[in-house]
Amino acid sequence: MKPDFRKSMIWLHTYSGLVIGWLLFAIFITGTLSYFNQELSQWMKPELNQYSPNVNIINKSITHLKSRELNAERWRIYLPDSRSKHLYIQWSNGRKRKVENLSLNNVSPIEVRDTKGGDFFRTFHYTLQLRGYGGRYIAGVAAMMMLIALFSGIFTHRRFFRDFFTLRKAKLSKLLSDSHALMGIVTLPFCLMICSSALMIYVTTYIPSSTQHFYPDNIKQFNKEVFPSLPALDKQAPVAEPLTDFSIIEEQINQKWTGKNQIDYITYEQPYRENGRIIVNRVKHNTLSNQAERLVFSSTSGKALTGYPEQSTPMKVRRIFYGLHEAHFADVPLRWMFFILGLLSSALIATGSIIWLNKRLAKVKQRHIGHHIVECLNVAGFAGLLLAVLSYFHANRFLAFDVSNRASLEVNIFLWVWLTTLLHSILRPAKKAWFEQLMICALLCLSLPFIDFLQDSQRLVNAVEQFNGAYLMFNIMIILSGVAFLKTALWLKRKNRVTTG
Amino acid sequence: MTHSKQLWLRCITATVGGYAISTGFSIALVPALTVWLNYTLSTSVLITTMLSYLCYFIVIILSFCLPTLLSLWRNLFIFCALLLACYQMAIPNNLHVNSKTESVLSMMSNQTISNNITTINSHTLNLTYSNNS
Repeated sequence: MKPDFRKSMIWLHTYSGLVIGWLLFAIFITGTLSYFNQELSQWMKPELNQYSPNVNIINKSITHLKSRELNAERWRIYLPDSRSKHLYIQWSNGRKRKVENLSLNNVSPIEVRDTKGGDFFRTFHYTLQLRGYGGRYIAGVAAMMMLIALFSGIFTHRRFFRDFFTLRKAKLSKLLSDSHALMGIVTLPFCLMICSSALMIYVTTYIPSSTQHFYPDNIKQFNKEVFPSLPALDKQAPVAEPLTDFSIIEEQINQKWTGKNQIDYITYEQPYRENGRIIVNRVKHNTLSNQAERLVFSSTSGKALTGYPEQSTPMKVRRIFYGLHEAHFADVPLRWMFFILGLLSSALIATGSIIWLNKRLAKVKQRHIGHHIVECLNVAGFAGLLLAVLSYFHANRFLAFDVSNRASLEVNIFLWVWLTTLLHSILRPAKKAWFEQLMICALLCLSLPFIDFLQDSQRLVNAVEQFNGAYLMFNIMIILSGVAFLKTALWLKRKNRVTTG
Repeated sequence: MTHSKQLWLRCITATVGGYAISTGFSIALVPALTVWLNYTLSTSVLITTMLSYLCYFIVIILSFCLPTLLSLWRNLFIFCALLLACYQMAIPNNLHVNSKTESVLSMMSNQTISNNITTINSHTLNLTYSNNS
């Protein structure tokens, strides 16, 4: 092994980054997109876009729930906010769960296209669409390796200030390595935060030995001690009518929680029993923690009941890591900052992998099979993933409203397109593959707003009238990224012509 | 030993060894926290589990920067021995710990306890052990 500390750190940086780079890029891009999870979902469900906040939403939703199923054991009302604009109710009996979307105009049921929306990116970025096959463990390994790559990266690029102020644009390889160091410095705190909090979220899943050792037969006991919970409800209690006028509870809530629109969702447990209760979850805008504040009321009388017990300190710490990762607290400017930092970190990962390949290709005369593999994976892992994301948006607009399994079909299109880009990168010479895939990305980006407008011009008109930031920003961002893709593709082509010709 | 063989051994020490040591860490410090610092069992399990990442991280870095494999393994061995000592010392050592008592610490106060088993109440946590004098 190399004797000197810095040299071994450079080796570690190079290979930990190379091995996991493509996976990390996919995780970072989808994770970054899920900062705007609700806005993306809103764009992908254009049927939702009406907003008139004057109707008494909660009471009308309760009436709907009451007329749906007798003896439901649980009701839930998800209230809309300015980001999601989505009101929906859910009722369940045992494990069976039903969902219904409600219009915001008059709180009547509406048909919304079946899609996972932005939530797909959120689940993909930690399960990798491998739920049940260890996807979360792979994501955990990736997070740990990213931490290692970051730490060793500090020693690899140790001249912080000089790196920060250098950007040589003349040569592609110089530009890449300078911008890699620059982005590394800028995103270092963000990446450390994101990776360590990612590991904290599944702390007892990734390192389960301690819980298994001390709670050998009863993990449930551990969960009960760690997660504060309410006492179980007697399911045989006398029958009673649930409260239908929520204003009694709203008054009490307004006294405890200052500010407007503080309710995230409302849960009724055993609504048709005398001992039933209502749990109100507060929005997470004003807390770092991922655990929202909760209030508990009786579902028959509306009187306040004893709430949840206090959490233990390490649990609070874990919840704050969780909250930092999800960034529910971030208002619009901070959310954008996180988004940009996320994009920069993805670019950091991508440039790292490309630099590895370019440096080696410049030195060797005879190519190794490894170089070919890295070359293909670079194209499909970076350009191909972006192409797949864009095709997911297109699928949302192109698939017919009433196709069966529409939501999973969209996801499948994402996955198949990604696979196709891999095939394309194997079949085409690398430089052409880069150019072509980036061009298709540009084309998809630039055409998306027009397709949307041609399908239903009313959407854009409504968005402008109501000044719907989410919808308008989506269109602006997609056009901007289209232009960026186009410029990058053309610039690459020019560079290549200069070097070869 | 060839260079590549050394590298493989280091990688294995970092990944497998690092994970093993961090799980060991997450178990070994629990009795110390509960008995000496009076944390509840679930709290100390969470604390050590969360800190064990740090342990993993350090082992990975050490695996790639210590000059020889032998020094690496020696250091890790010393660390493991310390952990074991900590575990043994925190559990009352004049008492033989019930073998499946693993469960030792897990048995909470309201469980039925047979004759030759007694409970100590160390504030919040109840330790169960068999008293084989």
